[in-house]
Amino acid sequence: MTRGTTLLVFFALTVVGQALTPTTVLTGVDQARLKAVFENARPFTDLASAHYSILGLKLLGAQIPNTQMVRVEGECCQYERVEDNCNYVKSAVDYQSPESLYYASSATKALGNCQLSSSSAQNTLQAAIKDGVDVPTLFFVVSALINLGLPVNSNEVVNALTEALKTDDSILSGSMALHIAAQLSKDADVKVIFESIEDLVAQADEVGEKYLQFEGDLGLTSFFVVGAYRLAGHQNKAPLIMEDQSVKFANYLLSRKHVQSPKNAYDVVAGLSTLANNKYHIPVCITRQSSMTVSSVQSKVQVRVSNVMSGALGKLTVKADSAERKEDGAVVLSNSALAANPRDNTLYELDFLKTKAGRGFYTIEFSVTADKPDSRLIGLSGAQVEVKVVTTVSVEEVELALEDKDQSTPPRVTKVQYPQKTGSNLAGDHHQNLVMKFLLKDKADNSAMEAHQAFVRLTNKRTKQEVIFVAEADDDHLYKFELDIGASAKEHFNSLSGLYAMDLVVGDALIQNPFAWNVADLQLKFPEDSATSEEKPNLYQPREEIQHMFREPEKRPPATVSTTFTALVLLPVLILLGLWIKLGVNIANFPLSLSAISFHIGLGSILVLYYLFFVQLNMFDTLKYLAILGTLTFLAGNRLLGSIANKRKQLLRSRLR
Amino acid sequence: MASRVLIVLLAALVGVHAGGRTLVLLDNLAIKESHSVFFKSLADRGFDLTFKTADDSSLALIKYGEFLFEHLIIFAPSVEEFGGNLDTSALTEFIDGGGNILVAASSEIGEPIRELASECGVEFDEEKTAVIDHLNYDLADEGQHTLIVADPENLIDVKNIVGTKRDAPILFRGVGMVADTDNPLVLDVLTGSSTSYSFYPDEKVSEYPHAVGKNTLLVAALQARNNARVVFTGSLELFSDQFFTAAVQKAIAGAQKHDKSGNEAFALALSRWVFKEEGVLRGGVVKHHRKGEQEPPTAYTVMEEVVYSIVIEQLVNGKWVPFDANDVQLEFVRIDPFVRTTMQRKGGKFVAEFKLPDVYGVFQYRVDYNRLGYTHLFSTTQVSVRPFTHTQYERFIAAAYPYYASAFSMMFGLFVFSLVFLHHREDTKEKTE
Repeated sequence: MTRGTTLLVFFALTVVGQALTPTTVLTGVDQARLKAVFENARPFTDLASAHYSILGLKLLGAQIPNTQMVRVEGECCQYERVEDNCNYVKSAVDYQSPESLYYASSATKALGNCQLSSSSAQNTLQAAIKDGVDVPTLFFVVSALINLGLPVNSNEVVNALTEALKTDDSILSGSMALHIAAQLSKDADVKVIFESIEDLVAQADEVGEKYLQFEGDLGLTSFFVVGAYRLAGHQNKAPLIMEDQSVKFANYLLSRKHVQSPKNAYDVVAGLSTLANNKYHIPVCITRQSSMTVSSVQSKVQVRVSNVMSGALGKLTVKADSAERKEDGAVVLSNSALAANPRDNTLYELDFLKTKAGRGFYTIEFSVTADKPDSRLIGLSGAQVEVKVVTTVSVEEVELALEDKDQSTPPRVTKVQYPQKTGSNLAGDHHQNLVMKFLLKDKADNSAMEAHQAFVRLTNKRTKQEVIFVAEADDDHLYKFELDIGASAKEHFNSLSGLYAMDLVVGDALIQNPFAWNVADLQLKFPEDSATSEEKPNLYQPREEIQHMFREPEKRPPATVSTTFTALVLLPVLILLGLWIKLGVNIANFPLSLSAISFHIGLGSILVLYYLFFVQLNMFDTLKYLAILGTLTFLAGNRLLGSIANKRKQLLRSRLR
Repeated sequence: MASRVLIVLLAALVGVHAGGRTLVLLDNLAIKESHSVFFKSLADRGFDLTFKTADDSSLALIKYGEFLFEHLIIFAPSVEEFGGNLDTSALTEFIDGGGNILVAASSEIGEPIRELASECGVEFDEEKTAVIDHLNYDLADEGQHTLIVADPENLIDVKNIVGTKRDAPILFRGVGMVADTDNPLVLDVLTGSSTSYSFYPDEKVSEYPHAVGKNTLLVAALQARNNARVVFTGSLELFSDQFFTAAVQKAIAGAQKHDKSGNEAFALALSRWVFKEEGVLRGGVVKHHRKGEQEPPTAYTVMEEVVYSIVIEQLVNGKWVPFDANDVQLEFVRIDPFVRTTMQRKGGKFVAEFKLPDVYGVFQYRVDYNRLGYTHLFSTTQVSVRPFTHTQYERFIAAAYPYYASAFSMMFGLFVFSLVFLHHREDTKEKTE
């Protein structure tokens, strides 16, 4: 077993240990941010977060703010009260709960000058150690007792723990067991628990050969790491964690450094401080401190060699084993020592441009040896840092030309000098090709080069519409851009003639001075017939208002005409009446009978009804009234005419007689 | 009421409760913690978040014909195939059913995400490509100039979508998109600058890039016709705690340094919009009647003065409050609109007064309010407009007086003549005597 492990460790050292070192550290900036997370936990809302905040700040070596403003709901109103940490913890602790006592006692221990009432705590805690206790309770009890400086019966605890672990083999309980064991007296028999570290590590999940963690749970991973090294320190034996596993745990914890809650922040800080400061494994981190870019202005590559908390590791010799260009694998440097920075003992510098490295991405591999051999340091070689050597570029031999498609006239060639613009506007129409040639030169060695981005941008000055083309380089790195104005009219320009600004955009990851240069202004003219300026209707605008156009009333003849004709129309009645008077019309025969009177009234009423129908009544009402009036008039008329006829008959008969 | 009144209130159909059940699909569970600020903000706002890995075999959006979730967050750019019975057609069905989706991609974009995007009119660039901008990259860039500093100027000018506070630039690292020009519903929420382009950072630009200049979309949004909202971002890191708290400074001399990026404000505003906390409208009570009356008539007559009012409310912090705008229009439509007028806001209601056209038929009062960042409000009320009854025409026209006079004189004549004809007594006695 032991031999196998040793073999494994050896294997890990030689093979995996080659390339595995943490790629980042908890920098000063990160620590400041986490410190802010701890401080922002105030005013405390619960004991657990108070405990994480206080312990986290202590681990970071920061000042723990002494007091906090607390908003209190008074009887009448809210008011603010100043409360110090100790008072808060004392007021929030529940003396009946081991968990609460654990948080409170850890916090008061970290605060130093703060005492919980140990007698009342002791009763609760001692009573909790009994048969059938579960692992978490046992962890809280033992930790709280130790924190309060109260005696712990180690053997009793070990027995209870062994019993509890039989039924509960979760990783959390296993890790708690490590913490419990680490707090017991030295003579307690915790060998079994110590050896369980190996089993627990075996249950960790590896992600991408870089990270090692438990169930994606930051708290659990950190809790285990702290517990394992704590117990190892307690037992004075190296924990059964392989060096590369330790580095992978560190990588995982570092990958989570952007956490925001006090608990997670505490987990990160606690785990990393353990890995930065223990007796067995201290991963060495080599991280780039200077910017990735190396140029003539900034030719030094500065690396920080530190533990995961950016702390110094003592006097070291740092060497760059090799530097390899990514593109072609050219090795530009081997085995050169880095100079220590006199001001900061974690910084080392390498003048990279001494190697006459051309532009490109480089991977530098470092190795570290401690001047005083220190077996704790792991990941001493194989650390890689990427840098890139950039250069300034100049654009030369820029030629602009408008060629006729049929080659009838020789092209007019305009030469332009960066960063000027052609004096006169160029005017092109659809019978012509626009041609632009240019050369990009690396200023460092004056050789032609190609850039990732060499675009020609045409911007319509009125609509701000941009059309971008890619300029392509030939084998001699000469860039040529050709635009058939007529053919591209519809597809690219929407046939929109007008003034266009022509820019050359050159950029590359390795170019220090990317630029967008306004080369010329172009007057482009596209064939008119294809002009399709159909604007898409905007769905999201208020639409134009519509007023309904009412139909105009028809023109009417003037009133005088109608008045005249009205008079003319009425004339016959007047003439009739006049003639009748002259003739001596009378109604002397009018019989004073009911039928006569009602017939004429009925007839008159019918006529009045017709008038009313015209003015206001509707058809149905009119018919209804007409039926009544008509019947009456008919009956009355019948009798009237009958009586008149009788009278005449009598008159005739009397005459004949 | 005899006339058929048809009221279609699309906004009222939309799920409008703040919060709601949300499924979060992740590449791995670490994303839950690396993006904790974003998720915490959602949880604080009342969303019920369910975290699953994207290849979880138990994934389902529909159970027994009902949607299990109202919102979906896909923070799983690299997923090759969704687990369970989730696929592109299930996702489009989810959108068709009114569900909202927030999708974040990255340069490791997988096929399902690309398919979903192209269903929505957004084309992602290939895997391993990135948006590159050699003139606008951040100081913390890792060499390829892919950590883009997106200027707030390139944000769409709609405060419902991108929020009001936008002075700090936005950090972006990920894949680019272009919008389908034939899809009018896609909104360019955040575009690249005119020097940006999308390509493989390690390869020579041998063909025309998928997206160049301002056509490069960094964030695109879509509000479907059923008001379902979908947002695509090319960068998962845009939502990360790291980018939320990062300082931003363009890597050019003299660039202004911002201590905190605009990512948090932008991401939260975007999530408020996509999950229907912002820009949600609903139509309320519709009233219409003749001017001076209170109740709607069975039918209107042409050329009457009418008053129409509609209550429009907006969801603000989970409460419906009266909506405030001065561009709500009312249309009076018979196939085509005959009248279109802007309504005045009067105490929580929008009111329009106008004169009915001189055309009869079956008309609709229609409010069709479609503005950027708001849900589409569509309300129609059908009424009939009839011509004048014969008593409603003008009774005495000056030009027609000869006709009236002749008719009445005839009637008068008839009456008088009947009297005279029946009762005239001739003085014949004297002659005979």
